[in-house]
Amino acid sequence: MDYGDLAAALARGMWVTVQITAGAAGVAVVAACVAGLARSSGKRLLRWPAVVYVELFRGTSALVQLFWIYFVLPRFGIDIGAMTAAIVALGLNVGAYGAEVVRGAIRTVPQGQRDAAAALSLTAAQTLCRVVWPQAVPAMLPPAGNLAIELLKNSALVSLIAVTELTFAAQLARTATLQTSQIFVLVLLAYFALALCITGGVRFLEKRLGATT
Amino acid sequence: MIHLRGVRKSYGALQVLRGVDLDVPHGQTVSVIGPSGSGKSTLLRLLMMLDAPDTGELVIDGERPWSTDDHGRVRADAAQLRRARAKVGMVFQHFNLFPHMSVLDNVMEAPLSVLGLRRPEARDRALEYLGQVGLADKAQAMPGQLSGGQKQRVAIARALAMQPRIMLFDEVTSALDPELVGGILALLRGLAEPQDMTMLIVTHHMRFAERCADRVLFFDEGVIAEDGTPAELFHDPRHERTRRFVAAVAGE
Repeated sequence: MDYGDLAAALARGMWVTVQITAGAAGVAVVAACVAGLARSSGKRLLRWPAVVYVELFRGTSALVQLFWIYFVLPRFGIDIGAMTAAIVALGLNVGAYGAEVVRGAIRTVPQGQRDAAAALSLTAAQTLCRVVWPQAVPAMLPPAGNLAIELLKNSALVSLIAVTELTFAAQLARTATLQTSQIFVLVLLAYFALALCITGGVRFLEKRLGATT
Repeated sequence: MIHLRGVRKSYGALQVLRGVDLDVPHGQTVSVIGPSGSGKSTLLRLLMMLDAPDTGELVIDGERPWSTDDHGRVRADAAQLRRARAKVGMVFQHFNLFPHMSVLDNVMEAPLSVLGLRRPEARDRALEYLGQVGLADKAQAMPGQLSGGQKQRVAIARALAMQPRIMLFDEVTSALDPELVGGILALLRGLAEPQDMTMLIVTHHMRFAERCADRVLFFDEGVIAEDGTPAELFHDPRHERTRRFVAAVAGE
């Protein structure tokens, strides 16, 4: 394995890490919005499933959740493959934390805003979409950025179900070349670069959405 | 227009309204005065249907938004609540403008999404009412760029744009710098004059309450302690506690 092969192997791993992180972030955003809104609802029937989801996925380890989805669910006939299992498991795990971010942000919108919307005869759905949500989103962004970086780093867990993402690719390359320190310097830089991309993206959104208030 | 019988409301253990009876005919301008915590703002919240009464009867222009079920629980009648709310507008002490929308969008929002007006119509209507409160030139500004007095004018235009039959003003000058109060009160006086709207104005400005209202309600400890013309209430009150309150506030 020469340096060209090494770089190519790491780049392939990095690409898999990007795919997993982006896919899981997508799952997490949907799960967080659905569960966060349900948990903020006045209706018990919406609220308690959200509470169960959030507490279950926050209260158990991401690794165990991953093993469940990859090793246990196939025994019940649900076999979604390693890559999908990785995206679903990490997405649901981060989504549980994200649900609390959504709920907290919704609570920061003052009651007066809801009163004003009700006084103008806006429906509950209109109040949420037009008044509460646009004001809550800017408050969600900084913690959401933290969660996204957390997710990026947690994506290394999926090496344990034999998905060749960045960390696993590095392990393989290390066994093949024994260039331990060089490889892990590269891996460190790769994660750092990806995290910087996330930070930059969140900053950009904060600026765009913050400018209107 | 407004009909209340035996209306009671508690927040937790705190009894705020202890049996309010009130009839207000269409077109009347009513000032509501009284010590803080006496239930004035709660009355307005109930009339805006932001909260439901615990017990009692509330009828707004023929609509009964609340009904009591067999277990004594108050339930909303969705259709009547919607119709009743559309007839009432409210202006709040702290303006409660939508900070993420321009002034124009604040005023256009409800005509667009509730009344279903088309954009150009809603825009014309919004500009008309912004003109009425003297802020047509601020239509594109964001609420954060306005002074308190300007914000309150926008809030008044926003409520008027729904063309309510009843307007509620909840201490609308209390959060303003003193030099801005006069302008808002003059605006309210202008609104009260044509007598085509029923207005309830909770205020601490006794001279305003005296000059502009057809009728004054004095609230004390969750009931209407005295109800009469401005002349009666301010110069010949029937109750000692009314006399004491008016004297104390006048001395400020």
